[in-house]
Amino acid sequence: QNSTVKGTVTSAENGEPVPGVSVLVKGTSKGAVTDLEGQYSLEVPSEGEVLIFSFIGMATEEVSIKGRTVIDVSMSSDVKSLNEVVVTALNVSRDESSLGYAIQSVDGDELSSVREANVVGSLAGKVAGVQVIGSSGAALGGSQNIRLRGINSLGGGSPLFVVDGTPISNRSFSPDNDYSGRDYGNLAADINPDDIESISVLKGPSAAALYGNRAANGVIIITTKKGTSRKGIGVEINHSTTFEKVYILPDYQNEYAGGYSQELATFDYNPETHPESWAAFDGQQVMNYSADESWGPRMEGQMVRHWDSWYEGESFGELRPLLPNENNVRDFFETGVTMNTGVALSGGDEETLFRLSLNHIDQKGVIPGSELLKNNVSFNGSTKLTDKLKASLNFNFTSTQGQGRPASGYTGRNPVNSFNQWFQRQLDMDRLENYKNPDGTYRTWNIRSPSNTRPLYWDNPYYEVYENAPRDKRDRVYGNFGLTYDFTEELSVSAFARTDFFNQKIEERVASGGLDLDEYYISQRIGREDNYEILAQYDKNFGGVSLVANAGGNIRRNFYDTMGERTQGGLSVPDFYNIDASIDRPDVSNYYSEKTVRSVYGSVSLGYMSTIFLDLTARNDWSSALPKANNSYFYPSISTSFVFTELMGNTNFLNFGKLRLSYAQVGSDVSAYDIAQVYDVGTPYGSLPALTVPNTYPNPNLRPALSSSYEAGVDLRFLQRRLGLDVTYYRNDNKDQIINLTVPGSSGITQAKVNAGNIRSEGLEVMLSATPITNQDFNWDMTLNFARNTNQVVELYQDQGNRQLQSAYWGMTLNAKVGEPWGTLIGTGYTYDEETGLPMINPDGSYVENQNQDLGTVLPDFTGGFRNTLTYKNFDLTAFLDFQKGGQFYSVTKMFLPYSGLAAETAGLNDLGNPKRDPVDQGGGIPVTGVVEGEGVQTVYVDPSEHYKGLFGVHEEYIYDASYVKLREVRLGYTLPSKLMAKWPIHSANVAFIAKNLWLIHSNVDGLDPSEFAAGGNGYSYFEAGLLPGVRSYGFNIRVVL
Amino acid sequence: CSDFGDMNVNPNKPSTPLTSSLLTDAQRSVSDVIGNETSVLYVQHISQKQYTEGSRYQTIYFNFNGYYSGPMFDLERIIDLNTDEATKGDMTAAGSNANQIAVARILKAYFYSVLTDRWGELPYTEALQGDEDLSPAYDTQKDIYYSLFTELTEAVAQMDGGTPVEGDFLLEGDMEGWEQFANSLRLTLALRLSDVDPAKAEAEFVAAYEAGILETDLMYPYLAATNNQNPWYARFLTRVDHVISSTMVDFMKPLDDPRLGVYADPAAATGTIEGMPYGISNAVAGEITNDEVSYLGSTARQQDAPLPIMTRSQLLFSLAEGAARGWIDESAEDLYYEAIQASFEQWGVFDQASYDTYIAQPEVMYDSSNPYMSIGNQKWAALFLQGFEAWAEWRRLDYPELTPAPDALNESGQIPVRQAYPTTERDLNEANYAEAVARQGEDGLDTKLWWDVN
Repeated sequence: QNSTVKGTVTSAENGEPVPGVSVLVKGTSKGAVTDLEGQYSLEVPSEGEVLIFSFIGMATEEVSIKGRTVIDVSMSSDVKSLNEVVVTALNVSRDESSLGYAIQSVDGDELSSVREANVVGSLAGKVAGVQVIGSSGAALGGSQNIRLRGINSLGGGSPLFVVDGTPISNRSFSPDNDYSGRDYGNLAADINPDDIESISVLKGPSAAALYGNRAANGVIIITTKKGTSRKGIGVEINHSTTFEKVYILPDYQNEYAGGYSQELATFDYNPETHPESWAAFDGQQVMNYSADESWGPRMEGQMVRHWDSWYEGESFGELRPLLPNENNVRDFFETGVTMNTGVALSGGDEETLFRLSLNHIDQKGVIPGSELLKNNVSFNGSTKLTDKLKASLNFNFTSTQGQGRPASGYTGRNPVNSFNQWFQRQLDMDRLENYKNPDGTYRTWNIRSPSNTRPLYWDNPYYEVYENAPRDKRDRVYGNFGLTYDFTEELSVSAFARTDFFNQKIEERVASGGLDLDEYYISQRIGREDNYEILAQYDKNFGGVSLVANAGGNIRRNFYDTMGERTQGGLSVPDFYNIDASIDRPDVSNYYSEKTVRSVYGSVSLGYMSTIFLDLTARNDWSSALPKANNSYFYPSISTSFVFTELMGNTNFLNFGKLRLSYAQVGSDVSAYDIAQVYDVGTPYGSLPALTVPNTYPNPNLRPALSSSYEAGVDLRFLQRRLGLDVTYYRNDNKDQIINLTVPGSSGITQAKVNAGNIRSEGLEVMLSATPITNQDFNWDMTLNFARNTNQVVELYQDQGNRQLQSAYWGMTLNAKVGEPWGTLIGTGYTYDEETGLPMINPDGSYVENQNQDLGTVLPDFTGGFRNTLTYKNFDLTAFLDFQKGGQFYSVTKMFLPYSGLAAETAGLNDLGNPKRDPVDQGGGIPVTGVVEGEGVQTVYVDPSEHYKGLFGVHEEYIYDASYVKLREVRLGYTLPSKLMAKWPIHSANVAFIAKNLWLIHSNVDGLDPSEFAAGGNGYSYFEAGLLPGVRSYGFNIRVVL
Repeated sequence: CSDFGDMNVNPNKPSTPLTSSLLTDAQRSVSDVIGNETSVLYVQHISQKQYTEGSRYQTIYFNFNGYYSGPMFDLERIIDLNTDEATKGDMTAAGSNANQIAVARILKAYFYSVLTDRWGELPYTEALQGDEDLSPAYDTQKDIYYSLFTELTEAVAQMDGGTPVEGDFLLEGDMEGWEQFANSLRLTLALRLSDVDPAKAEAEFVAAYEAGILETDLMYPYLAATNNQNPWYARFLTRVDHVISSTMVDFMKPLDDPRLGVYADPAAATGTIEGMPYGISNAVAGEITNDEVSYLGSTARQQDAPLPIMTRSQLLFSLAEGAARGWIDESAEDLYYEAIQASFEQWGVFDQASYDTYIAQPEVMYDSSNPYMSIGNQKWAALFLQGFEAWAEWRRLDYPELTPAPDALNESGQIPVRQAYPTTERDLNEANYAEAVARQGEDGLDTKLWWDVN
């Protein structure tokens, strides 16, 4: 007896109907396909017990009929199978099994599960071989740096970002090296993560040969969501509110107050210089206000004059007890709030598809006064103008406005730099918060003396954040317009015009009346890249042979315009922030550059019986920036894949197996204007202009650089594909790079632009995925990825053995040293006694220093991530860990924290049970064990202040490894039952608890988060000074589909 | 596909040089020499108030790269552009070719003289060749000195009475002034060799003297504008680090030296000039309050207060010494007193009565039995803020007798007599660096220069 079964198939992700799903009665050939509204109707023979629902990209569902006549099914996307169609170079979708190189895809949902606003940050740990160096949440949209497969060039280098085929800038507006400055973020943050359908990461040049010279460090290919053909308009609302709280701070001592001596000073009234009314103060105990260190008196409640008692006002003349304020630093920070709301409308029919999305982010940072607003509109549409001609438009607009983005690095502008390096432990934030006198002048703790309340070294931290708050504004547009004409079923030609445009304005100020001269700075940077592209595609199967061929050409034009103006000599009208207010001739500069690269390229992919594939690509570029004679360069790639399981027949154990092999080259050019002699305009003397010969020598004989890469890999799926293993080995040789070679300054120049060097990087990437449990109610997916990269500087220039890349504070340098990994830290270390391995010390307990020691490399040994997603009925739980082993960095915070007596280890008891800060001859001091020349092993007790001050500039002591394990993301969600939804015009709704940076499980450096010290746009990130504290974020997320 | 027209022509920077502007830029770097802080600390004119590492000789390596790649390469380019037949014709708007070359040579010699007195051996003959020589060898200090004498002599000889140089804010195109400056520098350098090479010293000294030296102070004219302001003014904008040292106060106060009132301001707490102990630890220094000590005199650190490049007083002391050595036929004693008077005048404190009282004191009176002590002590006091010159003369004369910083951070604990090469030389110019160090001695603060033999 046949019966009819009907029902609707919807997507578990968004509740939308899924058309085109094949519904099959198990064990028969009876079947149906869902219509546009996701509905099906099917005659089921009496022996039929189970229906199989299948659709590309979704997990196949088997449902028992059990006599029902209506069976609604919700299908969820299948990450494992989604991975099989990937977007590759030139925006071409390919079956992954045909690819001869490593490419890894991340699904949009996986990226946005905790609503990370910066797409780079959301990639952390999710792709093998991707290292993300984040920045603290306190930086409010600060830069997140990305490295693919370690470092491949002498100058660092970051991957190219491409959105729907449009290359977009990921320039970072942050201080070039961590010295100091403000971080205005990286430009990839303009992408709305909610719009992302998937990200493919092309890791090596083999995959990237077709993107041209900027792809040498890999490509991040982002595909955005498109409209689907459906009835009515789909509406998706996604809102999250999260709260940010300062998480990681160093351990401070809370026994001793500010000062240099444990004795309190006494105020001596001097009728010659002090007001008469101060006579009563004679003999009062006073603090050492001018000290920005905490080696002062023990805090025992003794009555003293605190800093504020010298300012007119309520507390003037007041004596108050001297007591610790253990949480003073934490008290400075506020609870940040981020509200992120997105609305997406999508729809379409057979001819036209569209998706329109809006996103609004309103963020209040943990640093008082810091705020960020971001608005985003994106549109994706396509329409068939005729049967053969299709037009598409992708448009994205993002506007970002920041206020009070915090200063980072070693500067007075950064309060954290003060709290963790130069501070007095007893200070009370409540009193500091009152930072203005009634007459509008400012108050600070670090006054010069009772009679001179001008700041000595430090302004009030609240003055810094409220009065010196910078403002920034960025408008960004990117997108493309394209036409595709299908000549035949096999042959199509498309043409695209693409643009990426940003206008970044930054205003900084120093308010009148603080320690520093008041100042106003304004800058504008306009960047634009246009690409005009034409591409012919041919796709045909000849019996068992498949052929995909592409041929195309591209013209790329880059424009960059900057203007910067800074007042000099102060502001003519206090707190009037305009260049007009400059007392002296303001510093002004403007810069314009233009560059064109013309390219032709092509690729051929041949497949035989879905078993063996061969890909060939070739590209030739002509760059306007290179010398005319050398401005053309060609680079090819070849790759092959072999799906050996095709030859093995069906095994239950191994379901899929593929070997990959590839070789590729990528050429690179230089920036505009690097090859001709010009003069630098110097600072004029009065009306006399100044010119100087530039320190970098131009080189009219530059050649394009070429990097070569070899890659081999294997991709295996076992046990009904519930277990997957993908392993890639690669080796890159980056030769003849165009670098600014540092040369002896005595030559008259400090840098020469040359072709030089070879950096070899080798590595292994492993991706393991598993579904330990899957059944009707419960599903558990896990993915583990792991990447190890080793890197060696094989050759520099001629017989040069070392290249200094940068120098940090007090002689610490970052180097490329022949025979060692890129990024060798060189600085002052200890001298070790060979016999005992102990450091050599002087009789007074100070260390015998040893200059110019190798102190390790900044590149990590390995990185990776581990993700678990569990769904049980309507609940879903995602927990994501990422980790890194190794990678050295130099911490200036850790050096000055004890230097200035703030650190916990500078107080308390020593191993003899005496206070460390007691005089050494009375049992105090810190024991230092080492070998004294001629006297053997000795333990010497050293006064803590002398000990830690003596370690100043001993870099080895403050080199840490940046290993960490971090519970980065947690999401616990609940999908409201569809029965409940039926009463409202809502298809589906999910509510979730979300958390970011929840737990730094392991780190080798106390009080700092080693995963968050990105502050340089160049990806060096090898030292920190005044690092902003780690921030933990948690909140909720609601997703509703109407 | 390969033609891009003029697209790669840089619109942001000029590709044609103006030699007058190259000269202006090079002259601005003179400020880095005469405004230097470290040398002023070495000779204990100034003590640091709270963070005292500089006065405790913490830094070993000092960077000379900026002098080569900055002013000296600019000056080399002026010489090239005025020498090269292809370009020299276009350069005459900024002065006659010969005058431009002469001024560039003199100024370059000045920078080299300062550099060699800091580091000793230097890349010289092979230096400043741009990318034609990226590993310049070192010359011995003797060869450098000998060459500088030649340079200065030839430069003076080559001035052709043609159009004076443009872009010259130090001497405003006064070619006679450049001649006198060149001779004065030659005389100063000659005296430096008095102990090691007395014959050469005497010959150059006498020739320079006879050729005519500066009659007035050559000062660097700072402007009341941020970009060209007095460096001491800049240092006091946000911090108060520089206090008159007790070494200086102990020398001047008992003699009631009128210059002390210009060298320092009264302490806020006492209203009198109070020195700051020199070279003590941060902790000890930190306990001395800001009100108790005397900061560098406020007139000396006005935004546009000029700083001396070479003074009449300094030259008179040199002449006094030349006379004492019997090189010139003048009265050493008279010149010595004239030098003190010139110093009083330079600092604006000269009045006959107080000057007479001052020089009548036995500690001040010229001691013909030990002229080098008299000259050394008084020259040191007169060279206030002229750090490099004061440091060089202290090393040569060994007067005044200075006590090293009690809490010195360098290994020897002694006052540096040299500065170490920048670490870039060790890394980038390895073989030549090693050769120089092998010849000259350890690359540290304690290796004496060639001319510093006592």
